[in-house]
This record gives sequence, structure tokens and C-alpha cells, in this order.
Amino acid sequence: MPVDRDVPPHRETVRATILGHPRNAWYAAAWDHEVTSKALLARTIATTPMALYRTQDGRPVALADACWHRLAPLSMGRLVGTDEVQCPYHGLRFNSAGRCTRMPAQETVNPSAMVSSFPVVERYRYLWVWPGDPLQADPDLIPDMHQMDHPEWAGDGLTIHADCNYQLILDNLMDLTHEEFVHGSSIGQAELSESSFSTRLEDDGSVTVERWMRDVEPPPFWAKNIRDRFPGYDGRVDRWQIIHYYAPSTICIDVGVAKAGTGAPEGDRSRGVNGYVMNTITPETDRTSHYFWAFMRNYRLESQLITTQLRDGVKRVFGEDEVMLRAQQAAIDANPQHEFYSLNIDAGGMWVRRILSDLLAREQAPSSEAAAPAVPGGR
Amino acid sequence: MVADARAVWATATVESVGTAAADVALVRLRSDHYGISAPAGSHLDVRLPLAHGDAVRSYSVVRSSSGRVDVAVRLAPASRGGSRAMHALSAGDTLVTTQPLQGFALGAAASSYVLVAGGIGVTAILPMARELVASGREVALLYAGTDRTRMPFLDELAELLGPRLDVRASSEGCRIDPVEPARLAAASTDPMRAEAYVCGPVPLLDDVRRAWSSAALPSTNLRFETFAGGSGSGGSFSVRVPALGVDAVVGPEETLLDALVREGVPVLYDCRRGECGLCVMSVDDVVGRVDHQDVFLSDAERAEGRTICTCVSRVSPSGGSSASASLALR
Ligand code: FES
Ligand code: FES
Ligand SMILES: [Fe+2]
Repeated sequence: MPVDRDVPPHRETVRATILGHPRNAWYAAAWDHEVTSKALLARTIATTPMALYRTQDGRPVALADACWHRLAPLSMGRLVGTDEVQCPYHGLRFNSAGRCTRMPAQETVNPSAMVSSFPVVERYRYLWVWPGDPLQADPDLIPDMHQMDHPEWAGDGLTIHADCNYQLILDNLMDLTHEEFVHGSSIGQAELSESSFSTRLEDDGSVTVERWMRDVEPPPFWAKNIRDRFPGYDGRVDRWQIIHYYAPSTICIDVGVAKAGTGAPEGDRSRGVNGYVMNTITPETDRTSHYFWAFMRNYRLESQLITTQLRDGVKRVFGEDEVMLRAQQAAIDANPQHEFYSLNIDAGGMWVRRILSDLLAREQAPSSEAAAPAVPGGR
Repeated sequence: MVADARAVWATATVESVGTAAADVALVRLRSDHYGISAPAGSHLDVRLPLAHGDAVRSYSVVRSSSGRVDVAVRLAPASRGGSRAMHALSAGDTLVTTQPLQGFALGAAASSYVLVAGGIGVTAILPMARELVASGREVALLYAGTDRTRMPFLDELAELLGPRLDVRASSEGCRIDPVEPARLAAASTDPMRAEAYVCGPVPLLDDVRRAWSSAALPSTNLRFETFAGGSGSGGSFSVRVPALGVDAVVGPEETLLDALVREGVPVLYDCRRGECGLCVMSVDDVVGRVDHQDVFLSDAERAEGRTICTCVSRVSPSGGSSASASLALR
């Protein structure tokens, strides 16, 4: 007999294996040093091909990478004047606002001739672009990654061109129990899946996953780090991983170890070492992503040696993730009729899905302005 | 954001027809291919079956949401053409239209915005005012028309903009001085980053443009759209193309280009709004005066008088009672 029950609205995204991405969002498009006023950089951000460059006075610009005329890629063109790009094909010129300033063989310029110019903000050593409605691009919405260029932090990072949907990377970072299995030789240890963890949706809309492993042997990566600060230390540690997710696709992970029993869980980290794993993931296509990461630390700031060692060490660790993510995407594509199922450890990743699903739904819904009744009538 | 979407033609249903002002119909169309919402500056192309064959007219999207689009259409005097056909619609009728197309995109990087609407050009400007106010931008609107009763959306604009709406009704002896947009931009916080968006008749636009460039403001910061091409109306005149033995009359409800195509003259065209220059023909001889309604020819080219943009420009009598032109393919 059928029974009427109230069930929450079905969200298609919950089990989707290929997740769409919001367009009204800031995405890291490049490291600051990648974009110059000498040459154009072609990069696809959120399925939109863009041509990135700087004006002569250093302001970053992101134009749609297809000429208004016959769609030749502007990134193959050249920079001219103070802020213009010349199309490589028939020489139309566009300024940093995307407006055409010159047409060959005519005295006027067609007022319709333009390409999209996407809002760009330079912050935290990245250039952030907003592929959606430019009027909604509020720089205050850029996620907090202040450790990237704060004087109390030092470190560096790289970009991974990941052959997978961006959400697989978010899943990977929101649940670190995989370290035991994927990263056994560096940061993995059995206590990761043995220790309990808490998952919280914060008032500001971010998500936190917090895990403490008390009185454990440090794995090789952390044994080295704590000795960098406390030479010769070889005792047990209290280890933490506090994951912060900011929509749509930034995850900053507060990680570290301190001498066991010295009060780190209660807030005294003075006998330990603290790092921040900075991750911001930009969908390139449905099945590829630009994964920008860095490892920042707040001790031994003077040591370029440690910066390089940490960057190279984390690069090796993330290389292990990259292999898994690529294989996972291939398996997803080979099983198109299958969907995802979830475990207890997926709580963080499931909050991320819920938030992304709501953002996507909001972009699909008519705005309240447009939905306002507009009953035609006499005035 | 840019005219990057290919036009897709599909059937739309008229959901309602109302009145936005005297002689201005507000037509609400519904079609699955309209999408969720159209950005400011979008228009629909509408195919209208007229007496002498199908004609295409463009109307700015004044409001849109989830598969619905509102357009406002001013009835051209003595019209038997596009605007008459639009005014004759009633709920349940069907039409073939494109989805909203972008041809007049609002930039997001300006420090302040001056909007200028002449007559029915307000249909393109109203959604811009809404978006700019919603995102908290510095914006002012100059809105000119013949008479308040004939100027649509005054109430909505007054509510949106308050004192930043400046209405000029010629019935009250008020007009837009073409130097005003440049003056407002120059008086703003950052003149070199102030933008003006103008939608109105070509003569107003021409004057505003001249004033803008003599104020040494960046020419790309003056954005404009004309609606001359949409109306296809004016007095009739005759056209000859001696090389092809064509001698025809351009009716009051059709464009010169419509007439040339009807007569089998192999003329190219693309934008049909006086922008691309593909429809330009040589003028060998003219009786009367050419009313240039395009933005393709430069002032110097117009002064020379040797060319005409056939999609929007017409010939009107000067002094005498007849108007005619003799044209040649270029
Ligand atoms: S394709 Fe760019 S100018 Fe022709
Ligand atoms: S068709 Fe483009 S100017 Fe006439
Ligand atoms: Fe990993």
C-alpha cells in the first residue's frame, strides 16, 4: 500500500559522478608570476577559454579567447599599446575592457564588436577570475588564503593539471583517511582511520573537519619537520588535521604535530610545528582541473632549503593523489551508468556537495528581480 | 555577455498584451528556448509576416524570467508594418523569434555610468538601470521623449533611481543637450573610467558622440545601440539600380534593403542595423536627401555623399515632393 511520506527534495548532484560548477564564483586562474605584460597566456577556466595578460602598468586582464570577428584565439595575438590585444588573424584590436578599438579598412568601429572581459583580482599570489555575471563579482568573496603571502608564513607550491572532475579533488581533500592507503610512505599512518573526527558546517558557510591523533609516532614527513624546528627530537607527537572548506573549491588544511602531551589540542602549539596546505581547485572542463596548491609553514621562515624540501615533498605526495584521481575518473567514465555511494568518512565531502548543489540550484533559478510579477497593464 | 550565441529560431506564444504608455504595447512572450534570464542589453529578433513578405524586427528585452520575455513596442505613425503587427497580437497568438541575443553588453569595470534613453530606446536602458542599481553602482539616467504619457516605464525608473532619473519631455520644453552625457562623465569621480550607454535615434547619438570625443573621453567608453533598423518605417521613395534595370518604390514600412532584396538585387547584408557595412551601395544620383541612420559611415564619408547603408538609411524629399536615388553595387 502506498504511504505518503515527506522526503527532502531529491538533489541530483548528491550521487552525480560528474559535478557541474557554479559560474558566479572566483576561481584561481594562474599564479601571479605566470601572467605578464610581455605575452598572452591561454587557459580554460570553468569551460571558458581565456586569454590572460597584464596591461603595461601591470593590471591583470582576462579576455574571452575567441575574437569577435572569426573566433581566432586572441592568445595567439600580440599585446599592443598600453592595454590592447591585436587579433592574430585580421588585426582587430581589443582593449582590456574587451571593446574593439580598431578595425582594418574602415573609418569607424562597429559598436557591437567586443569580447567578454572577465573580472580579475590579484590576491594571495594568484590571479582570480569570475566567469559569471561580472556585476556580481565582489572581491570580498575570494576565499581567505592569507597564509600565501603573510609575513608570518613562508612556503611555496605548484599547479597540478589533474585529469578529473574538480569535485573528486575536493572529496580527496575533505577526507584524509586515504593518507593511510595512498601515502603510506610519507604522511600515512593507521591512527588516521582509528582516531575520531568531527565535521561542522560553520556560520559563515564554510565546512570544518577536525581530527586529532594523540600520542602517536610521527610519520616520516612530520618527523623531519619537527626536527627542523627541534633538532634531534624523536619522541611521540600529538598530530592534527583541521580542514577548512570555502565554496566553491578552496580547501585550507591546518596541519601539524607537537610534542605529545604538551597541550596542542588545548591550544598551546608552542612545542610543535604548524603548516597550512593551501588548495584551490579550478574546473577546467568537466573532466579536467587546475589544481593550485602550496605548503606554508610558520616556523624557520628564513630557510629557503626547508621551503624547497617541503614543496618537493608535498609534490611527491600529491603525485600519488594525482595517479589515484586519474584512475578514478577513468573508472567513472568506464561505468557511466553507476553512481556514488557514501561512507561515514564522507561527511566533509557530502557537505561540500550539498553546498555546491545549492549554489548550482540558485544559478539555475530565476533571480528574484526577474521573477517579480510584471503584469502588463495600463499606467 | 557578448554576441556569442547563435540565433536559434523557434515558436513563441503570446502570453499577454498590455499597455506600457500611450501607443506602446507591452508584449509578453513565452518560449522554452528563452532560458532563465537574459542579461541587460539583450534583444529578440522577431519574424513578422507582413504584406510584402516576412520581415525581421529587433526588440529589446525589457524583462525576462524562466522562459518569458517582455518587449515593449511603440506604434510607428500610420504603420501597416512591424509595429502594427506587434500591436495587433493577442494572448494565444504565436510568433517565430530568436532567443535573447546580446548586442549591447553592459561592462562591469566602469567607475560610474551615464545612461541615455531617447524615446523607445528606454527599452534597452531599463534593464541596465535595474542591474546597475542592484549591484550598487553609481548611475544616472537621462530619459527624453515627446510627452510623459508616451514615455513607458517612468514609474519603475523613478522608483529605481529617484533623483538620479532626469526626464526630458519635449512637450514641457525639455530636451537632452548632446553635451550632457560627456559633462556628467567628466564630473564623475574618475572620468576616464566613466561609461555612457546611449539608446536612441541616430541624430541624437551622432551629436552625443561628437561631444564625447571633443571632451577627450575614451571613445570606447561611449556605448550605443540604435533602433533605426528595427522600425523600417519612414516616407516612401523610389530607387533605381540602372545596371540591373531595377526601378522600384520603397514603401513606408520596409527598408531600402528589403526593397532591393525583393527586386532581386544581389546585395549582401549581415547586421541589418547599420553597423557592419556589408549592405553599403554607391549612390550615383539622389533627388532629395539621404537620411543616414547607420553608424558605419564616418562623418567624412557621409559628407561625401557617395555611399548609403541600405539596411537602415532612407531618402527623403528636400523641398520638392519626390525622393529617389540611383544606386550601384560597389
Ligand atoms: S578573427 Fe580576429 S580579426 Fe578576424
Ligand atoms: S547590414 Fe550591416 S550595416 Fe547594413
Ligand atoms: Fe592525498
